[in-house]
Amino acid sequence: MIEWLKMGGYGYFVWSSYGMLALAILVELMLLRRHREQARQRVLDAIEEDSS
Amino acid sequence: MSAHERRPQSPDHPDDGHPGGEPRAEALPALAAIAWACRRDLLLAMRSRAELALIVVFFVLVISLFPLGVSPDPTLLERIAPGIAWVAALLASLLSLPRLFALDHADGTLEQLVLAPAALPALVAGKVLAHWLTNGLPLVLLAPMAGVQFGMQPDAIAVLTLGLLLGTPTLSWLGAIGAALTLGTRAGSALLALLVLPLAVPVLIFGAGAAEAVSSGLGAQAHLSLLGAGLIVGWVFGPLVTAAAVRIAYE
Amino acid sequence: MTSIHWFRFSSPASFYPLAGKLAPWFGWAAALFALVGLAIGFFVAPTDYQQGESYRIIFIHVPAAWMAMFTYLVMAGWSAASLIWNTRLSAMMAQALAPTGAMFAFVSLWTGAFWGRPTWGTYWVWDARLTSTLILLFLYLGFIALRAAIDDPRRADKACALLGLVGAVNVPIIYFSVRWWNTLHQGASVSLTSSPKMAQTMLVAMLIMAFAAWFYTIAVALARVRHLILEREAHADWTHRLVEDAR
Repeated sequence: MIEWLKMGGYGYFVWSSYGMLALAILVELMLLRRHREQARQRVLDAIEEDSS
Repeated sequence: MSAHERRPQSPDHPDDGHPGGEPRAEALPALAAIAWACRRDLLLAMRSRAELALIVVFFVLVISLFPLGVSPDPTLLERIAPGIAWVAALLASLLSLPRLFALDHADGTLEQLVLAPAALPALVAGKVLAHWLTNGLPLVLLAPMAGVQFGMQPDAIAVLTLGLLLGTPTLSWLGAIGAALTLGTRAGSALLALLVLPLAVPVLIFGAGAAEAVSSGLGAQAHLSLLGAGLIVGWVFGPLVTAAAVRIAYE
Repeated sequence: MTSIHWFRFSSPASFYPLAGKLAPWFGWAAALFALVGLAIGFFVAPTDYQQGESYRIIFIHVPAAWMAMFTYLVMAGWSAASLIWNTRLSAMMAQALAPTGAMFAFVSLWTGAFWGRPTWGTYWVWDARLTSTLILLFLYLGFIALRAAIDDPRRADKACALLGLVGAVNVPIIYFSVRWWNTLHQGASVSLTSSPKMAQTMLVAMLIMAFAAWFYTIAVALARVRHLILEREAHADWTHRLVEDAR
């Protein structure tokens, strides 16, 4: 298992690549979640405005 | 906010923003519109001659920075000279682009031009022509001096100059599209640079490549033809796309 | 099968629920394909004779590069649609795709660098493909930045659509000129386009990963466009009802 992780000595390069992809996807999904909250809040604010 | 309420009163504006004086019902023929817009912008530019000189000074300044930042070695400088000249030309043309539309936009003249009977593409073409005459052409005339500063051979200098002559109008058009898209936004010139510079890469490659090709004994035919093609495409499509971009700002 | 009136879905209000139903399917499909693709890529595909295990980076590098390119074309398509038919939803789809496209462009550059280092000795080479991808990243960032700079949504729609089209027309020109520039300067002749001789399994894994990337992009774009729709339609009754029901 450890041998496999080492990727024949290229572990640093392989996992830096896959790691960055994973990080990028994670960041994108987190930003997406935040976007959803902002959108929801925008509608709630509009409800407030429109009813007053 | 009617355009008529904001009719420019300042003495800086010849013709009060209307082609030929009072608005006319019949459309102004395209060439006359181009000439009118060009003449107007040139007159405006002449009143701030300091700004014109600034472009020239900027170009020379940027070029002079490279030997200081890299190395004074003549062989190296001769090799990278075309690239430096072109990058400096790119940056210098970016400098004056915001003003292409911003001043007219700020006092409402641009809005009237959009509404004017003359076709907007023609009016825009006149403005861009004026921009090139005050920004691109001076750089073309300065190129030989820059070439000599970097120890370039005469034939390479000639091709560099010709390349700039063919390529700077295209840079003006790319810049005009960018300036029109960013009209009135809070974004600074960094956004304009981000929009325009990637699109200008082919012009840079072929322009600098032409001079380099001549230096290394290969012909610059292909490079110059492509720059020429860009010039034609720029003048055919530039007015239409830029006019569309200006209209978007006023919808 | 009765004909589906696709134009019914061109209004944000009716597209919103559709996108909500479709997004999870694409998300799970992406995860599944990625799992299978990586399994084949790491456990079935053989070690490369020349590059050892480092070549396994291509299973994400190449699909990312493809997605970056393809997404830009799709963005341009939506931009054209929004200008031709004056539809808001088309412009929103283009806006929804841009961040993911930029992400893949960046990942393509990063993985390209980490593949290049062990294979050719340097993290970065100014070869045609990497340089073009770098410029493509700038085009994406410009699109996103222009969107952020314009406050009025409809004006932003149209300005970005125009920019997207101008960019799309320029992409082949840029690629051609960069390739020309690169082949002339034979010094940097190592090209990351010279991929290892593909064993069948390597190719299969790469294609499966490409589909995974595509499904992921669609899923994320559909999710993002829903948020955009909510924001734009914040004053409409249907969004009020929706959000209040969810509370």
